Amino acid sequence: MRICILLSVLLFMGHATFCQNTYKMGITDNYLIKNALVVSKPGAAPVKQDILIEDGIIKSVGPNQKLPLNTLDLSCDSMYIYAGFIAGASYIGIKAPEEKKDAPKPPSRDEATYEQSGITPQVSALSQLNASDKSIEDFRKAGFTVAQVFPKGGMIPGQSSIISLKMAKDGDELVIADAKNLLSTFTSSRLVAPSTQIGVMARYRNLYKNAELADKNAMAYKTNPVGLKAPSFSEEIAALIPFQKKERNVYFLAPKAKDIYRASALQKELGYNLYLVDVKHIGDAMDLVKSAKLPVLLSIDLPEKEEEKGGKSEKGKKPDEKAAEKETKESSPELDSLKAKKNAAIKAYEEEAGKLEKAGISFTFSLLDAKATDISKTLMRMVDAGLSKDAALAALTTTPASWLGLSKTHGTIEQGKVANLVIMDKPIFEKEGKIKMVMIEGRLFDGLVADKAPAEAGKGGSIEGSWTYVTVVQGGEEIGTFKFTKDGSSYKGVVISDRTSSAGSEIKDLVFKDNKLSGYTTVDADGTIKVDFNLTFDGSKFTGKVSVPGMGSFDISGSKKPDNNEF
Amino acid sequence: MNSSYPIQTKIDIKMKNNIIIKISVLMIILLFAYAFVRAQSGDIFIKNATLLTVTNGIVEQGDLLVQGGKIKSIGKGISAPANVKTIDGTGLYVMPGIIDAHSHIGIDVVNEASNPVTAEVYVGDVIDPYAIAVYRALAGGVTISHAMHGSANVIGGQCQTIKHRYGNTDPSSYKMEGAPRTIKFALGENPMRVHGEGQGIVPSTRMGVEQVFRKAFSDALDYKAKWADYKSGKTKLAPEYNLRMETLADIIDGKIIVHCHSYRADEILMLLRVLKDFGITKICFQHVNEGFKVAPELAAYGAMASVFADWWAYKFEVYYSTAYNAAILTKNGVVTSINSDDAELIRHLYHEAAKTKRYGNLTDEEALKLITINPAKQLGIESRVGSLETGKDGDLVIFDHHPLSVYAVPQMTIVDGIVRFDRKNDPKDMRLDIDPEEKLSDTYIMHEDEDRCMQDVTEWLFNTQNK
Repeated sequence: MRICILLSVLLFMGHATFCQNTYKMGITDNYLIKNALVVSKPGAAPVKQDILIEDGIIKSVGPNQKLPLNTLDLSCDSMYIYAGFIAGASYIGIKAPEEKKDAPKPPSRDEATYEQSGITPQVSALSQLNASDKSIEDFRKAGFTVAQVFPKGGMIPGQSSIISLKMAKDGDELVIADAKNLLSTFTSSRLVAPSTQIGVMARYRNLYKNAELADKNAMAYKTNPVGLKAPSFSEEIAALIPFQKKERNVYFLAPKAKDIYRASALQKELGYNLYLVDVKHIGDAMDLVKSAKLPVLLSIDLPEKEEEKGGKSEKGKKPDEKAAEKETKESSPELDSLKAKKNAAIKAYEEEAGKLEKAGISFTFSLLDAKATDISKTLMRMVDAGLSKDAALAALTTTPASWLGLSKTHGTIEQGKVANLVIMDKPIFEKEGKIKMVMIEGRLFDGLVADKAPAEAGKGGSIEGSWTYVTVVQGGEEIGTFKFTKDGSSYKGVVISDRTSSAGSEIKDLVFKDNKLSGYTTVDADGTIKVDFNLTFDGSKFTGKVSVPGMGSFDISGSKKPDNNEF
Repeated sequence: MNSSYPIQTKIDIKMKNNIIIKISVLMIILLFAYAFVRAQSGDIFIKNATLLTVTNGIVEQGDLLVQGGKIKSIGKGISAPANVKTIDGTGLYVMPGIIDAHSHIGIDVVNEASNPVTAEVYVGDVIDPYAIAVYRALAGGVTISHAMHGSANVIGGQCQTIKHRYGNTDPSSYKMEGAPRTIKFALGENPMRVHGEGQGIVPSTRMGVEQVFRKAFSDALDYKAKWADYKSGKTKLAPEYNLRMETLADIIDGKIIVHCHSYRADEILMLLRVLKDFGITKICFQHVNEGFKVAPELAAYGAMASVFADWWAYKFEVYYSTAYNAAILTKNGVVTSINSDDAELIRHLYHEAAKTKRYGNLTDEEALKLITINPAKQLGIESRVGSLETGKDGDLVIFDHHPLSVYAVPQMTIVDGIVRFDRKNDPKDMRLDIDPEEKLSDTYIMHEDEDRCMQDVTEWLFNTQNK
C-alpha cells in the first residue's frame, strides 16, 4: 500500500511532504495571487491586494506580500477577484435515475407505491450525483464553486447535498455538507395517483398528517410500550418527520404566482418551513411573499427577448421560429397591443430580482432550470432592469452561504476561508466582462474562456499545444498539463503536474498515429519506475489510460487549452 | 366608489404611431391593475330602475343602495349618501346576480381520475384567478358559480363556490367565504367508462356504481370507529390518517352537500336509497334529465335538481329528455335550477331560464328563481345571495330589457358592490396574466373546452395497458 501511495505521489508530483526533492517535484496548492483588485464581499470596493493561498485556504489578504517558498506566483494585474459563486439550488452533477422498464405495475392506479407516485423524500442527492457529469464543468466555468444539489424525481424528489464543483472521481468526494433540505413539487405522476395537481395537494395533506402521527405514535410507544404492538411506518413517512417538525426546510418548486399561493396555502395548513425555489415570476404574489417573509430562490432563466430570436441565420431557423418572426414583423392595432403586453410581461420577469431587492426580501439564485452559458447574460439583464450589482453579488455569494450554513467558510474573500475565487478581466456585471479563471479549494481552473476555437486534434489533426489532464490514482485526483510540440513529422511531449513549477518530465518513445498516442516517462523513486500513457484524442478532448507496472492502470482524461492562454 | 374602469380604452385604430399605442395599452394595464386591487367591497346607488327582487315582487321606479358590499336599502325615494357612485336606472332592470350551480370555470384541474373514489381532492386548491372565462361569465350577469370537480369518478372531489371577483389575483379571494362544502358524485356512463372500460375495475355497470358508494361509506364508518376508539383512549396508538375517509365521514355527518351527476330515473332512485341507508340528506342532482319521471320522489326526499334548459342526446343515457324538465320539477315542489356546465352557455343563463316560459308556462318569478335563489339554496348560500333583500350581498346585474326578454343584454355586473363588468367599458383584452413565451398567434386562439365534465381524463380513457 505504501508503495502505491508513494508511486501516485511521485508520478503526479503529489504532496510535498512525501517527496525528497520537494521544490523540484511539486509545490502543492500554494499560490500568491499578486496585484489583483480584490472585492472581498458584496458592497466592498475593489482594493489592490495580494492573496496568499495555502492548502486550499486563504492564508492572508493584504498588499505587498512576500512570495513564500513552495508557492506559485500568480500575477493578476488589473484582474478583479470575487468570492466563488454558490448555487442556492441546482441539479449540477445530478443524473436522473432511469425509469425501470420492467417494474411491476400497481394493481390499480390508486395502489401505486410511493416510488411510482414520485414520493421519495428519503432519497439523497448523493445517490444521483455523478462526479464526471459535464454540468459540473459547465457551471464552474460560469463561476460557481459550491452548489446545493437536489435529486431529480416526481412529486417529492428528495433531499439535498452541498457539493464543491471541483474535480473528483466519485460523487461523495464532492460533498462538503449534507444540507438535507427537501425538494417538493406539484408534479403529478400522470398514469398513477396522484395524477393531477388536486391529487398532489390532497396527498401532501395525507403525508404530513401521517408523519405527525408516526412521530406521535413512536413517542407513545417509547414512553410506555406495555400492551402495545410496535408502531410501524414506511421510510417515506419517516423521512418526512423532520420536515413536519420544522427541523429542516422544504424547498417548494414555485415558478409563478399561482404556485406560490398554493405552496403557501399548504404551508399554512401543514406548517413546514417554506423556501420558494426556481421562482420565475412572483408577480401578484409579491405582497404575500413580503408579508409571510418567504425566502426566494430566483431562477436564472428569463423569457427570451424578441430581438434575440432574430439573431439566427435564416437556414438555422425552425419553421415555428420563422412563423414567430413573421408574426413580429406583421402589424395591426390589435397585434400591436398584444405585442406591447407581451413585451411588458418579459420586462416584468426581468425586473423581478430588482423588485425583491427593493422589497427587502432575502433571495438567492436557483439554477434548476438555467443554462450555464446563459447565466452571465441573464444576470446582466436583471442588473439592467434594476437589480443593484451589490445585491446581485450577495445573491451569488454571501446569501447562499448563510442559508446553507457555510458563512464561516465560504462567501467572502477573507483570511481563513476556503480559497474559492472567481477571477475576471473586468468588474463583475460589466459588459464584455469575462471569467478568466476559477479557483476551487486552492486549485486553479484556467483557460476557461476560449478566445478562439481550439485546434482540431484527432484524426488527421494536430495535437500541438497544451492539454490539461485529470486522473485519479488511489482515490486522489491529479491535474496537470501535457505539452506537445511538433518535431518534423513526429511530436515531442512533456508532462507537468499542476503542483509543480518544474519543466516536467519528457515523454519518451512518443508515437501519435491516427488519433492515438502512446509513450512513457520515468520517475525516480527507489529506482526508476516506468509510466505508460495510452491516449485517444477526439477533437479538443482525450481519454485514455496511465499504467504503471505492478500498480495497475488508471483512467485519464483531459482537454485542449486555448492556444493564447494569458496565464 | 368610482368606476372600476377609470379611463376610456378605445384606441384610435387610425393612429399610426405604434409607440403611442403601446404606451396607451401599458397605461390601461397599469390603471386596471390599480383599480382592481384597491377594494374588495364597494358602495353603489342605483336610482329609478325596475327592481326584480325575485323573493319580494317587483319594485317599479325603485332605488337600491349597496354599502360596504351589502344591500343597505331597497324601495322608492331612497336618498344616497354623498360620494357614492350613482347609476341612473331609468329604463333599466336590476336583478340579483345570476348563480350557476354547475360550472368548471376558474379552476386549473377538473378531474382526478385515478380512482373511482377521490373524495380527498378539492378543486378549491387550484383556483385560477386569471381565468378569462370568469370575466366572460360576468358579461352574462353571473356573479357566483359552483366550480365543480368532473364526473369521471363515482365519488369525485370537493367543489368550490366562487364569487366572480375577476381582477383579484389571490386565488383565495375567489372563494365565497362561509359557503358550505360541496362534493361531486357521478352515476352512469362516465365513471363506468373511465374505470370499468378504461381500467377493468369496478364499476363496469350501474350495479357496480352502487357498490362503490356502499363500500366507500362502509369503509368510512369503520374509519370513524377506529378514530373514535383512539380519541376515547380505548386504543393508544393513532390509526393512519386518510383524508379520503375523513371526507366521506364528513358527508355522512351532514357537513358536505352532495351534488350528483345523473341522468336516468332508475339510478337516481338508486342513489336516494343509498343515501337514505347512510343517513345522508343534503343532495342536489345535477343534469338529472329524467328527473321529470321521479319528481315526486325527489320532492319527498328533499332532493334538489339542477338541470339544462334543453340540452341532451350527447350520449346514450341522455336521450330520454324534455325541455319541460325544469317546469315539471318546479311544479312538483323540487328546488330546481338551470345550469351551464359550460364556459359559453354560462354567458346567457337568463335566456336558458326564459325557455321555461315557453316550455312549461312558468311565471317570470319562477323562471328567475331558476338562476338566482334556487341555485343559492342548492349551494347553501340562500341567506347571503340569490335575491334583492336588505342585508344580502351587493351582487347585481343590470339589464337593458327584462332579463327574460330575448332582447336582454347585461349592461353592468356588480359583485359585493364593485362593478366587475361594464358593457360601456369592456376592453378587447382583459387578460391579467401574460405568458411572455406564448406565441402571439396562439394568443388569438383562447382554448375553452366545450364540456369540461370530463377534462383531465382523456389519458385514462385511451390508456388500455391494464386491459
